Amino acid sequence: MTRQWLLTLQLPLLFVPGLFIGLVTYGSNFEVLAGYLYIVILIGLPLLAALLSRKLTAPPKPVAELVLLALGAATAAAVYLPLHSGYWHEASTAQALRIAACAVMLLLCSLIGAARILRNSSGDGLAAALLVIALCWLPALVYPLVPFLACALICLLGLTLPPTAGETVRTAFATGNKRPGDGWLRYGLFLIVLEFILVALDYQGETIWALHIAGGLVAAALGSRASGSTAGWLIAGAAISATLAACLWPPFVLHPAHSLILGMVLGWAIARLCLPGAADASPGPRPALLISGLHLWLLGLLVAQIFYSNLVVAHYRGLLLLPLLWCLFNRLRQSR
Amino acid sequence: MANTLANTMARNRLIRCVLATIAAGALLIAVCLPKQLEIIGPRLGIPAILVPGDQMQISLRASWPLLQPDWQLSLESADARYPLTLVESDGWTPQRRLTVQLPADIPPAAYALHVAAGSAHKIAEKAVHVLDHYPAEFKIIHIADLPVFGEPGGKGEAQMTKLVEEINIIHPDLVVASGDIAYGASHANYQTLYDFFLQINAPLVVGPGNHEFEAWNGYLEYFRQRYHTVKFGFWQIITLDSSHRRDQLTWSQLRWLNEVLDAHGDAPSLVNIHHPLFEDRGLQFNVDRIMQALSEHGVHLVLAGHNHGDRLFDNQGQRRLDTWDLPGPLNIVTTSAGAKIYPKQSDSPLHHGYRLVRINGDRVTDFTYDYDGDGKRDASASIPVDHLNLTQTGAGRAQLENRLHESFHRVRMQIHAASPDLKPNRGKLISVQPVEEGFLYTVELPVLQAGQTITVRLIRHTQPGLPS
Repeated sequence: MTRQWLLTLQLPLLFVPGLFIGLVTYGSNFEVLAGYLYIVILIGLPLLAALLSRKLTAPPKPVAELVLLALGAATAAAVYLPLHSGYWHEASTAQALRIAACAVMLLLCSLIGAARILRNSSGDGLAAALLVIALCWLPALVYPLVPFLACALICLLGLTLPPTAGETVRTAFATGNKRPGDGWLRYGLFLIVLEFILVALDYQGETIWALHIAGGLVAAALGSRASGSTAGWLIAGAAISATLAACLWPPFVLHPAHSLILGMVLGWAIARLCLPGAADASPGPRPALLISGLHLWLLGLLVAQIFYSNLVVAHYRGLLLLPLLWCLFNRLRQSR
Repeated sequence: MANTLANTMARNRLIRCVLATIAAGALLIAVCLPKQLEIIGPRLGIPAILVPGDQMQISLRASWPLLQPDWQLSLESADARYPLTLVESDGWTPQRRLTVQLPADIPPAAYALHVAAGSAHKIAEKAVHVLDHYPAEFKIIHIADLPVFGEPGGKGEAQMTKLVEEINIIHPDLVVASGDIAYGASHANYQTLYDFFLQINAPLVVGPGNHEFEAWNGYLEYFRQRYHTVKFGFWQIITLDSSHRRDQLTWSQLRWLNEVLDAHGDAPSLVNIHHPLFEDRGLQFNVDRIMQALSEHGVHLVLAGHNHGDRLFDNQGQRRLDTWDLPGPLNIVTTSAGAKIYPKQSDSPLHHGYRLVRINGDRVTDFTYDYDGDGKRDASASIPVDHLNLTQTGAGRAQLENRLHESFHRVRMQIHAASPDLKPNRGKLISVQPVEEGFLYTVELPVLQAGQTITVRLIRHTQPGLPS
């Protein structure tokens, strides 16, 4: 099940943050054609993700699946090859076009992965996939845009999946798999992503952030295994505390504990959102929810950049916790 | 039937696995095979300034990890090559640090660093400057907000040519550029700028400004590091990146600043940063912490640009016009070297210019200029450009005119001649270099007084005292 999870998670956990780091750290120029293309990608990708995850009623046929995975690998490799020892060219139309094509292909590969995750999937595959993705971020210490190469390799790994079983082929993506609380969980993911990426915004060209992201994703693998409401409350509480601490004492953003706590709650939130619950009457491939909620993911990254582009106001991001705290307060009151 | 289906599925799976493995292998080979090598430092903008026999660190990035190549390292000038002795290599990571030793007999000059490993070969021009000794008394030229390049051969390039000419006449021991070095979202501007910087006959330290983000990949490609340190004897020049779209120093960079100041101990440091520390156009965040770090480590000078006007701030952040001999850290803002001037940001008469900082031992002895010629040095004024003129008045003959209220020692002038065997009628001959049309002579004069004009002729060796 690890390969399926890898295919699903490569888009939000490798490609999207890789693109964001490329644009923020290595240059963006929104006054040229390439810049417009990046805007189209940033707006169009989440829209396409939401549309496809609702409209697609079944994964593609095996041959089409093979072709899509191969194209995903090829486009991701085409994006990465010139960047390996070269430079991110913010004004290059060719680079922007390659990234646009790659974004679409990886989105499709991600949906294939989501469709391949069986209804009764446990969290083992998710935890293993998070560990592998953590490993993929480590070389970014030297080659900062290596997540694109990792996406290519994961798509190639997807080729080794056995042909789809009939049951999953006929699974509709969005049928009856919404649960109460999904909205708050997604909002929580938005806040986690926002806080988690700050370390990369602070270090920028100093790629030490790669260690923080990798460490955070290892913690995410642990967090995804947390079961039971007590563990959940503890993890959520730790994340809120870490965010408040970083708002009050900003250098805490650079502390490994910040990334580890945020990583842990990221894994926990992904597991809560994507793994089927015992009460699900008609569980579909819930990982598709992660893809359909890509707009919140991207919004988290962009809001992080807006806050961090003016350090004087960066601590006001703590206000975004208020709705979440209000929700938790109400839940507690109801439970009493 | 079931067996056949199972066999077919197993065969399909095997084929997929083999195909995926081959593709993954091919991809990794395609990534790693082009054995690219990148010299992070030293390079133009982050030079190594050394004396013969010194050790230096070379920071590299290799496209292929894990391999331990057979390094070939040398320093090369136009006519000589000096192999470097590898003292230590930090192992197999793609980010390599090599410690090398300079030959004891290498003559003082600017050298290109050549690094080769297998088929990969990289050159960093003017990366290493070898001195015969570290001077106790030395001068730094500070520039910021350089001319805006428009059309090739246009006004911006003419301004830059003049600026480089004047820098080479004053012949400083170090040039510090505080950002906004290339305006406009054009990668080509960095190539043009780089070519100009190569013409500067002194070690050059470069830091980024906010306009560098219009073509950030150009800055990274030519100058690589956003913040760095350069050693000049026991002095340390710390370059910071105050820009990166937020005109502030991030927490990580503040931490790095404290670390490099701690590591340097009590030895003197100078900070090079694009944004001034104070006022509206200055840094808006972490200023108290930066000032505290600088004060605790005895940093006397912070050189900045961005205002496009001259200004001097004392260690309380107050503008000073009355005196310049103040306890540090002083924040000196130098006017634009060619970009538009902002009158409201300047405390001295409006001009394009550069600043001459004089240092003796661990003391900053001067950074001011007597702008109005009343015999009193103006606290915040820099030297206006276009007042030092070198004119080639004929073959083997040049005139140097100083219209400034400032005298200079050890100035250098370049004279074109057709023949390589001439000598100057005054001053000391430093070098003769072949150029496209003849030869370029560099002659050093012991002093150029304020308002003085000097003509130098190249004469034949065989007829001393007579014009050629």
